[in-house]
Amino acid sequence: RPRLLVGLDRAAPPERQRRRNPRLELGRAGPQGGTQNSPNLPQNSPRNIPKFTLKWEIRAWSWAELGRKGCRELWTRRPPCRSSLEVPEINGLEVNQRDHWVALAGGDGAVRVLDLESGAFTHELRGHQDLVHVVALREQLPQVLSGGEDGTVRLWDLRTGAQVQLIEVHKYQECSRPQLGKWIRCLATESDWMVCGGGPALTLWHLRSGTPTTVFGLAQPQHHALFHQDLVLSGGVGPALHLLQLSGDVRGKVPVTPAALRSLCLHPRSPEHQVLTVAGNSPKIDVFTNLGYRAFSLSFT
Amino acid sequence: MSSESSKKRKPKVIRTDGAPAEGKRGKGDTDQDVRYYSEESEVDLRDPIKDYELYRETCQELQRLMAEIQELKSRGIKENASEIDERRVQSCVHFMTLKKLNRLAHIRLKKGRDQTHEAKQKVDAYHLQLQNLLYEVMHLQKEITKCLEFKSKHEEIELVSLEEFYKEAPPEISRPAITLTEPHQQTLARLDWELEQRKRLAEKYKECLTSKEKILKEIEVKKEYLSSLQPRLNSIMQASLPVQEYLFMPFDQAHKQYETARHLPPPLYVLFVQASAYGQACDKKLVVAIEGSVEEAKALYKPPEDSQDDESDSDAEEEQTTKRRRPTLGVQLDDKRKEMLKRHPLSVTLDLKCKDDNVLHLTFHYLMNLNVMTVKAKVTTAMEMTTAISAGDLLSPDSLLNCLYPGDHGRKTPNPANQFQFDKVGILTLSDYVTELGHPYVWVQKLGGLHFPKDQPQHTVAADNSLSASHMELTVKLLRSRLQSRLALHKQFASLEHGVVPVSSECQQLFPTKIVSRLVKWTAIPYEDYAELPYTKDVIEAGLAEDTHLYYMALIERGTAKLQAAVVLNPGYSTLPPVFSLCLNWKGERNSSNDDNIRAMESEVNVYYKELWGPKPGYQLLTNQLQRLCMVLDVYLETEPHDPSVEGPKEFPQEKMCLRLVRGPLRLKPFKFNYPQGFFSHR
Repeated sequence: RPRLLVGLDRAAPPERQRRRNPRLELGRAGPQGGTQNSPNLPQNSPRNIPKFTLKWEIRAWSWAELGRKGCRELWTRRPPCRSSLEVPEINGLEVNQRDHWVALAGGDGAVRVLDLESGAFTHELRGHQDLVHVVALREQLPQVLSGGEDGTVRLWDLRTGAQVQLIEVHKYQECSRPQLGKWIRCLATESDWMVCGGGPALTLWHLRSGTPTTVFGLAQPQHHALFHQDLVLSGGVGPALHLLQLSGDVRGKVPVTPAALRSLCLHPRSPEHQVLTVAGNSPKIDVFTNLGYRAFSLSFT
Repeated sequence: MSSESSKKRKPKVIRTDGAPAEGKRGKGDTDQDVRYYSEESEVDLRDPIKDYELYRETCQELQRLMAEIQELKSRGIKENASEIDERRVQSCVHFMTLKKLNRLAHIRLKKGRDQTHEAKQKVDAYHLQLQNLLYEVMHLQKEITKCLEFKSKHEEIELVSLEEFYKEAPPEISRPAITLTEPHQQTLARLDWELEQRKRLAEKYKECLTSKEKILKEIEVKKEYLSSLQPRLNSIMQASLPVQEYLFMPFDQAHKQYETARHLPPPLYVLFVQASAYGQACDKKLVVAIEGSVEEAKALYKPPEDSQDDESDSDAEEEQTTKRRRPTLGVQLDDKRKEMLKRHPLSVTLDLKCKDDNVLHLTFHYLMNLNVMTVKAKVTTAMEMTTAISAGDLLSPDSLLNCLYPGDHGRKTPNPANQFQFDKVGILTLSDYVTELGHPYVWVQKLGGLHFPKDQPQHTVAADNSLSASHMELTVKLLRSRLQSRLALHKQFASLEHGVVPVSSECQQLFPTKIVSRLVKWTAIPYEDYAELPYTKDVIEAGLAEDTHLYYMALIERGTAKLQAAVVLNPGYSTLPPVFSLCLNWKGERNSSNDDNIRAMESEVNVYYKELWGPKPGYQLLTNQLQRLCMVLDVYLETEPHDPSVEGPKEFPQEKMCLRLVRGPLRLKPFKFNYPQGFFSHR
């Protein structure tokens, strides 16, 4: 059974928290802090949960410790910073369970890799012109996809440490929406396929050829997308979770509590217990046991 | 014939010599002694029984003779005339015998009577004597007993005891030699001694009386002197009033106040005492006074007899009125309501003066039947204030003291027991009568020492001094700051309505020198309008917007962009900051639900308000918030990425210095102004 634990930014004054809508995101990075959902981690090993805030550091908590009072982080890592004038932020992270490293999307435009065993930052991949919003890991290959503010999706190879592929999404007529911007916010990949969106429309790409195959007709910018079985789940501006088929049809549009979705998290392990949690611009977290409708919401007391 | 005539004659006393009995009285007297009947002497000799026998014989003879005469007469008259005459003569003789016998009988009787009479008289005399003697005996006995019982007055006199007597009395009186042996002399001596003593004491008594009289007279004189002093003292007091005022020690005034304060009901009295104490000790600008009619207050507490009379009078009056006109049910209920909501005739006024000479007048009333206190507020400003239209509610007496403490809106009665009283007379809630009675805030009850526990009706809640004291200081501070903040807002509103956001010199460093966006409109809006706006739902849901708050709408413009800001102002401004909800109309409607930057702008004013307080006590918060809104709107508009599909240059060229335009997964704009470098960065 998945255990959900979230962390709050204690800096915000309590009476204003609801107004600030602390977006508590599960599984992915959030501005106030995010956690990795336990389903991503093996249940039997007390894993550390890397967490970050909008600050320039990564913190990790022990999953077992989190439920207790006065829990303190296990470790904190701070990537090297170039300028002291403005400290950048970490916008996204992805954990590679098998090889124990974390890929970080940095606000200074670099993708970094932190080795969890040694604690050192092994790679610093530069290429983005602006901040990097999101990273995605390819399953079989040691490659990292990153999407950024400059409107590009870049593919990095970790063995060489070089950029392998560059897709300038905003240059493609089918998906670009200049009135919304060219920034790429959501990125997901499965085998050879990639889905990305943001300012441009959510599009399904074939990675090897680097061409857009399907453009999903969602008017609002999307913030997070997932591959799930034969669907793409995505959420963004607007209180809806979109269930999209790879052909481009909209299978469903499920209403959710938050006004805008920021983070979706699926329990990937057991296919019979399908649990999806979503979080966004709301003090409540929605839980789905069936993708068709919202089962219940979690709220803070 | 002669027999007949002799029969006719009364039995007269006939003299033996045969003279007729008609004798005059004069002769009769002398004759009476001579008149003596032979029968009188014969009576003693003859035997009565024999006389009786003779009588019987004679009667028989007569009867026989009569019978014979009869017989003879029946035979014939002439023949027997001589026999008849013979017989007649015999019968006459017999008659004579009878007469004699009769006389004898009478005389016997008479004699017998005389003898009896004599004896009786003797007996009576003896009897009388006996009675007399007995009477005398009794009399004497009584006298004896009287004499025996006689208590001489001397026995009532309490004499000193014998030992004392012999001790104190001088020998010529006590004469112990004689008196010890004879009790009579002893008593006499004692009496003498007593008399002497009493005479002495009477002398002393007279002397004392005279001295007492003298002293009384002296007392009278002195009393007069003293009473003549009182008006003089009063005149001195009057004369000293100007001196008191000059020295700022209004004792007289205070004294009068304390006099009046004695008639206050307990909660008002507690309030008066605590407020005066606090004013004297800590706060020279707090003035306490009592207003109202003391006579009416006295009239409330009349002694029972008077009130009984009054009751009977009023009963009579009531009967009269009910006979004349039956009041309708509504009028009766109305009267009952008025009775229940009656105020005590005295009220306590508190005047809080502020440094700039603005005064907050508070009048505290006590509702007697409900046991709650209410307050009415009024503000007098030192200078005439230009009334801004939107500032209408700021200083209104109705809402000035709303929520002085959080949640204390003063619409409900704080005494839970009142609900039962209200049900009886059909009052729904006290808030209907608040405009005339004043607001029953909880802090007012606490100042009067009345503590009502929540949701539990108590029998009586008595005024408690310690409760009042502990709240006095804080409440006065809150009242002052409330007044100051309201006045500051008043001034600010006047400026805001003209489109100028007043920023004081201390706060200039919070903002860049050049801000292009301008405040165009500032109005007050009612709560219902605020609630209908689509972008204020979050605030209402979070419980930050209630109907006790004040609501305003600000409009900031730059070029074609119009920013609407709905403001909810908590009565506890400026400790509790106002909350802004934004909606930007520029190429579409953007608000916090669909644009993260708008939400970031809201958080700039709502969450990071502590930077905007300005110098203490922070009344410039609102204006600084508005200025900051203008500033962030500038940043927002200037940092919008250029839309290549639209021809022409950007409507808002970037003039603000920003390090980075976008940061974070929310892609926020840099809204934070850094002083003195003057650039914008992200938080």
